[in-house]
Amino acid sequence: MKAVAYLTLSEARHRPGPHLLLIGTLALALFLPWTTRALVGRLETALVARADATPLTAGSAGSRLDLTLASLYFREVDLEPVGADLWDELAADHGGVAVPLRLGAHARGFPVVGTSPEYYEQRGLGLASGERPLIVGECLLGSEVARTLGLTTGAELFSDQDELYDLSVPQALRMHVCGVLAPSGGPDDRAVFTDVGTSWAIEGLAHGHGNANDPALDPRLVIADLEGNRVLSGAYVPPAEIGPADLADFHAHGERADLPLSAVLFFPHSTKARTLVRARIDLREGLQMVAPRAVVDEILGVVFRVQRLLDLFSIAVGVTALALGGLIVGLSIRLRAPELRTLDRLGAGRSVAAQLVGTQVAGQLATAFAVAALAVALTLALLPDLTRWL
Amino acid sequence: MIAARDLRLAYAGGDFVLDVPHLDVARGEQLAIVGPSGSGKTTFLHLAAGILRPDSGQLSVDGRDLDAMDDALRRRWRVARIGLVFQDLELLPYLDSLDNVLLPLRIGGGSLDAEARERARGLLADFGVAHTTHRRPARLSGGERQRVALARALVTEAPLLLLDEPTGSLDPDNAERAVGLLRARAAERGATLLMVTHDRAAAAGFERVLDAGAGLEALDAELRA
Repeated sequence: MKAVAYLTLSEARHRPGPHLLLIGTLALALFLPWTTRALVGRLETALVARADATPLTAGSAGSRLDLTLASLYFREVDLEPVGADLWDELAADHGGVAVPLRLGAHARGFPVVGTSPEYYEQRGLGLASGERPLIVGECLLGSEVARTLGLTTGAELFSDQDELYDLSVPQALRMHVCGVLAPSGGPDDRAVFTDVGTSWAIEGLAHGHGNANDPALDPRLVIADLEGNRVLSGAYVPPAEIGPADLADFHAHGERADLPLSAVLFFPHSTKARTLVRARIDLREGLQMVAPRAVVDEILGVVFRVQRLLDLFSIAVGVTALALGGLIVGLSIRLRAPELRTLDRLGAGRSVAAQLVGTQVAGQLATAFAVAALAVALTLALLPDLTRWL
Repeated sequence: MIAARDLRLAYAGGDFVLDVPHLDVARGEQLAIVGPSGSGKTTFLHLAAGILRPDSGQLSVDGRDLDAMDDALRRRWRVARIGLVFQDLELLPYLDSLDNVLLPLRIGGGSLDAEARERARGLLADFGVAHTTHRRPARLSGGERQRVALARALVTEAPLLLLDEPTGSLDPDNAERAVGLLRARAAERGATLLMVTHDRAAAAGFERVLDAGAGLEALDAELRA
């Protein structure tokens, strides 16, 4: 057997082309279905885990899929906002924990998620450094955001300004990085978290008046000074950050119901509370309460149908690879006939020819399997979180 | 060493029939069979090596009745007891000269220790092809290939050497030197040497030369004469 292995290796080194072609084809035929199944399996696990960790999400009536993707993955979708009073209502319900989400703003391309401290508790998110945003103007970075932007606790981060040349829109807000989240392997790694008030400030819906009362303010900007309430000129440019002086009177104008939220996550304490809340919200006009798991199951249904299609392609590739393999082995035997005859004449055992071909095929299969396994491992390492493309 | 009695082999569908009524080759004898192509020289050599089996008759080699041996035993016996040179050399194209020489030891399960390798290198040097040790046959001249094949026949130190046109690709000087070396090595070990060739000059100096010009029947007649 040692002699057979040596002869097989020597022959392969001498004429590597056909062997490499066959190994490559077989590896590809193995790699395609293997990777597809591994990736789909990983996607399914990630989607289901995230969905199961988010029992209910409330939002405006419309696409259940959009609401789910926005609530779970901060995906940019055209959602009608709901009023902050929905959050208040759900928070007042003792059957569970309500967590607001305000999406739409960005910082250096990453989504800014306005929420409340309960979000981190419900998601079980730990801190790599710093602390959670306790006051407006602070932000907490997902681990990938911190790594990509090279920021850490104590740094500053500006929100993105959508319209650079429109002076009527709010200017970019300078946020103080109060902490960095530990990696969680999900969408939270790729988001910037703030208090929901900060999100409203970015949108120009809330602010403080700290600077208006600054004694050092240029008096030419003060139109009137009414018992401490100053009326400022239109030439006054509000500062790009929420400073300590703003915190005391940080506020939003208008009704609470006018302050927009993209969704409100609800984590019920019991099945009964879940059923009651869901029914109550679903009955309200313009609102819906979605169970993300049901939506994810629908998504997975589509994914599995696509996978079945890919499986058919893989079978076709596999059959082609086997046919090619058979052809190459057949040609190889014909090509090696003089060599096999020599071994026969010198006195090699009758089974040596079969052993040589068998060892060659086994070696090719083993190498193709190893190459495919390596390629699958590399692919999985390079694509650790498929939900980033949702 | 070789005893043939009423040996007969006819190729299916062919006109040629090999007939050897009586032939004996003594142990340690050096015998050359000369004759033109198609006279049955190679066929007789393959019968003696157990590669072919006769249709009838008896053939005993090295004291063993070849017909009584099963296929596996005959193969093991051949690789261990016979040094072979084929007419078309039959070097493996993907092995270098050293590995081609070591091939009989490798497939026979023999030892490939340092001594065997040294012996193989020594044989290559003796035949003047030491410089081809790590070259594959495609990079050798015809004469170099021939000499590597001769070295391969000697590596197992077998008691019987069967050589089919061993000088076919060599110039006269190299042919004489190679045959002289083969005969000297066989004589040193008391091995029997049977060479078939169409080149009468290569057979010069052999103790016994048989002419197969009229077919191998003539061998027997000549032997008895």
